[in-house]
Amino acid sequence: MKRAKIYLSVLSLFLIAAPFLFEARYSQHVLILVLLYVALGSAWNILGGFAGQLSLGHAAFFGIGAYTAAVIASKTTLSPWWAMAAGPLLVLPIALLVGWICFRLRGPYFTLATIAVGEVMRLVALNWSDLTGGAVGVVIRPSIFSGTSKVPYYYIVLFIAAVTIALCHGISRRKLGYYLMAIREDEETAESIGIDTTKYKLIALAISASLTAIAGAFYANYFLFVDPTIVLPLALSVEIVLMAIIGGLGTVPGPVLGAVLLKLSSEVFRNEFAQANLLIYGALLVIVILFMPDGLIGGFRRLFRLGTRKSQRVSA
Amino acid sequence: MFLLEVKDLTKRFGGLVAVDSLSFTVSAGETVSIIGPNGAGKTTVFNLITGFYQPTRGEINFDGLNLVGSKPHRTALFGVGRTFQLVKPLRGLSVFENILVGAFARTGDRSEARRIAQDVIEFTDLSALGDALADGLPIGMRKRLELARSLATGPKLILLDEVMSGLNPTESKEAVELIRRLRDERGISAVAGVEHVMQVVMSISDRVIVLNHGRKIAEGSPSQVVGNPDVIEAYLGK
Amino acid sequence: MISICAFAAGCSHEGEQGAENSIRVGIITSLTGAEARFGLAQKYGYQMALDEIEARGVLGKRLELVYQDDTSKPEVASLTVEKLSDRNDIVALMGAYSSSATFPAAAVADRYHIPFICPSATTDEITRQGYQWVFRVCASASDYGRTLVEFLTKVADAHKLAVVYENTQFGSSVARAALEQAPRAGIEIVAYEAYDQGGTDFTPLLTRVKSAGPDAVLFVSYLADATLLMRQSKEIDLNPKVFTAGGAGFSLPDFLKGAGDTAEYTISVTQWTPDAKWTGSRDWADTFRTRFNYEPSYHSVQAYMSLMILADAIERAGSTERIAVRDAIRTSKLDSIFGPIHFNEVGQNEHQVAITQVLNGKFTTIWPPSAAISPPVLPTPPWRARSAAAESGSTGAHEAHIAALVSGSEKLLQTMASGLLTGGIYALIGIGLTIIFGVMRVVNFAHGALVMVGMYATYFLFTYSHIDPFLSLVVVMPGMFVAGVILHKTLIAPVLRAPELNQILLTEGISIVLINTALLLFTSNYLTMTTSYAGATFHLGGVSVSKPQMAAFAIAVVITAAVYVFLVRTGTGRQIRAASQDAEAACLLGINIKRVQALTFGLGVAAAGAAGSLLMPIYYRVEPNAGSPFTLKAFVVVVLGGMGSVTGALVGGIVLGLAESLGAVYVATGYKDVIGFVIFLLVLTLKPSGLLGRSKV
Repeated sequence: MKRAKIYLSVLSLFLIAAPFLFEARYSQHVLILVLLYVALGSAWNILGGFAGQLSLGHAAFFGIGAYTAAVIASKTTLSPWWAMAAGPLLVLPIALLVGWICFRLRGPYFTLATIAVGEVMRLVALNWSDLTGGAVGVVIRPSIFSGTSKVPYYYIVLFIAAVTIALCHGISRRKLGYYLMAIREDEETAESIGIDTTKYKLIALAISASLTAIAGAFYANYFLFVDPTIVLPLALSVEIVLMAIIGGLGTVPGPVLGAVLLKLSSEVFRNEFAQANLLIYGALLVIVILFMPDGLIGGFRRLFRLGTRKSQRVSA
Repeated sequence: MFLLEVKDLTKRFGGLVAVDSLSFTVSAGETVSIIGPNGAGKTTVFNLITGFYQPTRGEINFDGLNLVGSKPHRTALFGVGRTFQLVKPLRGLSVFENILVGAFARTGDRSEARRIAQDVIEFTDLSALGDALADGLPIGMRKRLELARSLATGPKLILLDEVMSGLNPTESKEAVELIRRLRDERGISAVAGVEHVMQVVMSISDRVIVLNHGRKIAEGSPSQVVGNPDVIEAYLGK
Repeated sequence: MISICAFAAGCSHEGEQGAENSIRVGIITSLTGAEARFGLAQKYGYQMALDEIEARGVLGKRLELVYQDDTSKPEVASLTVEKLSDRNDIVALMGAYSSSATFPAAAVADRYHIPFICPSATTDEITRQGYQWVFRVCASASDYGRTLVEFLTKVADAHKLAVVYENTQFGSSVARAALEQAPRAGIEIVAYEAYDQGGTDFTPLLTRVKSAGPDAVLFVSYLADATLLMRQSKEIDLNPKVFTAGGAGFSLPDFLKGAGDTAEYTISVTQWTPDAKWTGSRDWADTFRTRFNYEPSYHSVQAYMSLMILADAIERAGSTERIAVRDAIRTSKLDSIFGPIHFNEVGQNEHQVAITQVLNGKFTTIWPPSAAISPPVLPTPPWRARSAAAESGSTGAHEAHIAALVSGSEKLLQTMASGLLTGGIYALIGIGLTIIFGVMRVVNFAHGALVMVGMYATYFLFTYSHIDPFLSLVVVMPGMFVAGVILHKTLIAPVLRAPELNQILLTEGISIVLINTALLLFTSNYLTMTTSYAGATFHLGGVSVSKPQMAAFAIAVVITAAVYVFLVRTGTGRQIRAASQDAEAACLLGINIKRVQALTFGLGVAAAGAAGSLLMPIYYRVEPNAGSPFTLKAFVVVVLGGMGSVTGALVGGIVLGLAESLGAVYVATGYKDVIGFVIFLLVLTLKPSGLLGRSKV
């Protein structure tokens, strides 16, 4: 435990100092992207990893957050940063509706339904041009931070990622976390010991969706351009899931590791081997499922015997 | 006042009548066994009481409350515990954590839940296995864990579905002992659903109810039931 | 941790050495991805410019191009601008190709104060943002709109316009330009339909257009869709007076090849043609052809011009300071192969749009009169008359065109015919999935990718071995069967007992691997094949049905029936059914479960492959992501018909096909795919056992 604390402190120092260690704009951009995906992967993990509800439609929530910012920017005089608060508020009723429809379904049906939801959202954004600008997208004027420095954005996304991870950690140690894991293992059993599975699944979804929407709102304010292919594609949902699974489903550090690996390597590979990168990830997914169900984190733990964990959060 | 009162309980699945006008009661501090050949409807009865199925007709009253229409988690919170025939431990969690999950039914506070879980793990004699993963345990331990987990939720009555199946004689004896202690030391009533008429089960039952094709064909003390010709016929066939 | 540091250090100041003797220019284009064809055309253009500049240098130095691939994605384009603009040695940037990529990229360039020249993005939005550093060489979407509208009223005498555009930045902006300009010229917009890029079947959309009775149709799309749109217009016998297009896909030489004789008479706006009358155009075109063995299009010229303009500006500025260069670009005044160059106050080069028509298989400028090489051929001969005319040797009938208003019942019949035929293919895809699920409870998320494999197999068999796609079934089905069995034994069998989560993820992983392997091997370009009977249509009353599609439907039904008979009549089939009902019991009865499962999986994969083969003669093209929409559709079919039911899959497939077709024609084309999803969600919520209510064969 002590060792873990030391690692954590060093890492935190590094993260806080990072923008000054890496001054190239491009490197800073990559760091921001990595942190964003860390937040996304961890947020997804609450529903997918802890509660075992495999959603392949999370891009919908990301998109809602991003488009909230876009609509605020294009239709009102308010700063689009308000979407960081408005986005999650807007996402909540939608997430609850999605949950109401999809949670009646088990296993693969649930996943399929979430894919359908994600795609419907994308098509709505694409076709409802009066509101969303349709395929043309929305250009957002920088608000509050009008310079060219990425540093403030970095700290904002660092904050978002930190809060998300802290939430995950907190949940995993409390009643909510245990209840979600029970639901993941076996819903009938969970019901028989007094767990209102529907309620808790909805709670997990609400938290997960809200955090994802906040990330989406941030993205819109950072990237300053929103269109359906960027914020709402199925590929984004799949990428988020890939990171969480490969890193280690249901663990707190898993999605973090997955996000870092996936994003860094996709940047390194992009110019030469964009397809090779995804190919490797697809293959990794297959390998992880067949041989390492607790993901790379599980593998690392076994390899380095990092701490004696009372139990392993094995993937369902 | 009866702890559990079942009146005229009936369940139809399409054309099949799984449970037919069943009535019985369980008082506080009683241990009752429901026996019957395979397919007699024991598990269906348990599912009806705990809310996994809704009855076609009939009443189910528990501790003054009407259970009909309640969802499973509600019945659990009312005080009806339940173990399953096919034991399903929460595999990714340790033994202690499995019990802890049950304890959270009583409180939202982590330390309070841990206290309850600690008490239960000691009561069920599983302390030595506390940190072990629930996944790799032998069947006897898993059954005991299932019972412990249910116990942690603070039930007044536990429905035990085929609690003996798969256990060797020693394990069966231990299970029976545990059930007895539940009644004597904690005042928890039990209804055990058993397929086979077992000496050991009979020894702790205050009453035995015999089911066949969803209908009650006999009820009484263990010795009364064993000698009943209808019961013998039901098991051996015509 | 270490890797992050190494990585960051590596890329912070890469390649900034050696800037003394050369001037570096950043070029963003689509070297890979959906627009790679255009990227290539641009690259050739840049190369032509570089060759010319090489001879004399710029400010006494060499010009060096730094290419960045935007992989046809907007966020990547923006990223490359970020990256390049941060480098001190880069003077200016140009790119990208598409409007979607260029639009956000321009915003980034403007923010970081680096001159940015857009060779080919036409969306009006670029010049409406008040940018100070962005210049556009090509004419804009509004220019397209204005010119087209003028042409339609003055020359084509058309007053009812149907607009069909792909739902992208480019498509929307040109369509909107037409929408805005048309009423002023007295043209009525009778249809305004958006479609999702990369669609497979335009017949419902075109039926909808046909029933609106247009005398002119405007298509705005990139390459692959352009070809399909023309072919299917022929199939459903859509005969406006004139087919017009917004450039892009319709102006590439590849369009002529791909669309074959259906390209003839199509009219498109263009920014330049090889026979243009500007200074040195024709010589340039000849040099280009010789150099690259490739027909020059305006995409190449725009790229060429961008670099020439920049070189000229740097020379005039006498400096490589970004701001000086920017100011010099502003005052550009050139006389070039692309006409006179002059940027107005919003950075727009005032460029004249011309109009070409495909005549005798070549792009011929027909408008404006000052640039025209030949007069236009109008009205466009109807499709059926063309084959007749070809036989009799004349080049176009001059029949009076009556904008054929399709009657209500004809429209319905046409719609239902399209839906039914498409439904047959859906059914075949669904059958594979349903038997896999029925027997093994495995949810195969790789199903769509397997269809794609079948498509590629048929493509290669046709292109290299000249095997007819329908015949290729004989090879593809057994091949896919074997592949399925192998797949099962190696990857699927181990997770049969694992939780469903693992199965979903595993098959999703397989899908990712298959798609990306295809991307690596074949790139994301569409590969097209044309059979001799492509476009053969069967006309009954006012309803047109594609013959290949009918054949495909028939075969799909035959295969379905064969599978059904197999399952019901043969010993192995019965074993499969037994296993699907109760695996344990079947095992006890002595059935070799493992063998049955492997066989079933193989059969399911073979069905998927067969569907892929049948898709090829109908839709002519394949690319790695072509199978993806079918995964979800297959699930919709299976859910509609009941998991595990073969007859259910047939019914489900047809229901889905009909629903999509009816929805697309009578409600809205853009939301066509939503219909499938909504049905899916409704059925799952209200009647999970499927429309037929059973879950077994």
